[in-house]
Amino acid sequence: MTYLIMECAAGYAVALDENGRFLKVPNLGYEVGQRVDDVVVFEGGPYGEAEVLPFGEYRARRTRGRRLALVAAAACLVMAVVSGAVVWRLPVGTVYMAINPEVSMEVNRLDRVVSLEGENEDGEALVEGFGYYGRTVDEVSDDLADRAEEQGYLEDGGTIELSVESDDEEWKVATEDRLVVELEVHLEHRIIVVAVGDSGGSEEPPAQSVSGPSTQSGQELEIEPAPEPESASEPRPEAAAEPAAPPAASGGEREPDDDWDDDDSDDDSDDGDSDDDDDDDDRDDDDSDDDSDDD
Amino acid sequence: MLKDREIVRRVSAARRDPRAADELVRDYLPFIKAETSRFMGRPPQEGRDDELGIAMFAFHEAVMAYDRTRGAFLPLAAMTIKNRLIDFRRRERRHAEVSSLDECRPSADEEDDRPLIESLASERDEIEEREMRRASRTEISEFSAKLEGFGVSLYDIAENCPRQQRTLEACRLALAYARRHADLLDRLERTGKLPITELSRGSGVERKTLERHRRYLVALLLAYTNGYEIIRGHLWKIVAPTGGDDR
Repeated sequence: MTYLIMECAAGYAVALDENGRFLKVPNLGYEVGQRVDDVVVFEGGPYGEAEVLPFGEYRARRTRGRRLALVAAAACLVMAVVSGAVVWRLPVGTVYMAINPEVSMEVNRLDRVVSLEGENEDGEALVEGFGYYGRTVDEVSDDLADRAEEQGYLEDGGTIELSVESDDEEWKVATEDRLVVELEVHLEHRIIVVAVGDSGGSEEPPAQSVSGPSTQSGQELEIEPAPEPESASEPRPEAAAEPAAPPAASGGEREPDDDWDDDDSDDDSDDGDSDDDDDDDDRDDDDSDDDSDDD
Repeated sequence: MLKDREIVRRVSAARRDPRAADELVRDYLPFIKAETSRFMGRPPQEGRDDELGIAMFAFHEAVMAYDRTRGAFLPLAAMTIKNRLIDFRRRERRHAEVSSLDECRPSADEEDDRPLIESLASERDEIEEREMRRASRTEISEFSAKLEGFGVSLYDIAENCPRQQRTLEACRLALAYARRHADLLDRLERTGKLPITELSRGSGVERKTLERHRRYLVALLLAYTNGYEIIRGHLWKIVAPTGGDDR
């Protein structure tokens, strides 16, 4: 086959073959009018075989890739949802709030309340019909204080006691401080908010000084007197008197004395109770588990 | 960024105007050479390595294929060049064992270091060939000037040329019919209009097929009007009624 070169440009040449076809070919130094025995004719486009791939096959390949991507995406989604649910559900700590009604809130890592229970009868009454799930702990405590005010449990000059329990010391301290400030601001300083525990010391200098040496167990112990007797046995009138007592008592005792001695003695004397305290906690945990299952 | 926009502008201009395309290829010759040498592992020599011609062709193809919504131009050009060079290398491998006429004889003595081609008796008449080439050039430039007058360039015709054997034969049928009816060829030459309806009716080829290859048919029919003996001589295979269709 000979080709007659019809046109020459930098990028291509047009050759006429003997069958009457005009072909666009690479210009390998041709000139117009030249007859050549061979030209380079490329079959197919410059971008590989994809263009001529049959439709069905193309689809099959694509769906295979897609299915894999879909499975991967689904797996990622499931993982995200599961881990999100775990983070959401898992309480990192419990906030106890004693006005006179006592309540305990379990709070998750995102500072959302996942369970709320009354610790005594007034507490149960206070909590009844109150929508708390998934709201921030700050909001819930504010609303609880408001409710307590409405229902006549709380009057100006009254006291709210807060205590926070958690394995995460940092979170515990931060939450305690934040809640105290939050509640005080919310109630416009008409109510005294006390953190029972150590770091509530922002309120009371003596309590703060206690906080230094005391350990975690020490903190838990201090909370003890409040929830223990009430939930166990005592009827309401007694309970009303109780919550005010422990902080007043401890504060009253400590203020005149030296911190160090006092603290030691507290620890010693309360050691016996700590077991009970643990039991109590276990019971709470069980309850909360039940709740979460119900959810 | 500015440079990118500049090249996009030039590429889109080149798609409308063949002369701008030519200029673009020449201006980007350094780029084309760089891509080629990356493929070959050595810089290509102009006028000696076919690879450079292939790469320039590929660059031109990339210019024609470029779509600005689908990315930058130069990466596309680089990829096209590489793909075409691979195609070319595969094609060349088929006759890798054929030795070049420009090489020395393998068993040559040290004194006899002339290229192989010089030891062959040439059957071709150099002078006559040169004359022939000059005549062809004149005729072809006339031919393409005439086509230009009809608003068709040779490049368009090459793009418009039938790819399938069946279509090619259909076009040939139309040509045969037109040759039997010389008035059709005359009318084409005068008006520059292709009498598609009559061709279709006369040759029995579907009108759509003819329409799709309109520009190609114009060139083919024009070659059979008066005065293009050399081109027609080249196409003797079509004309011969018993001519085989093998390529």
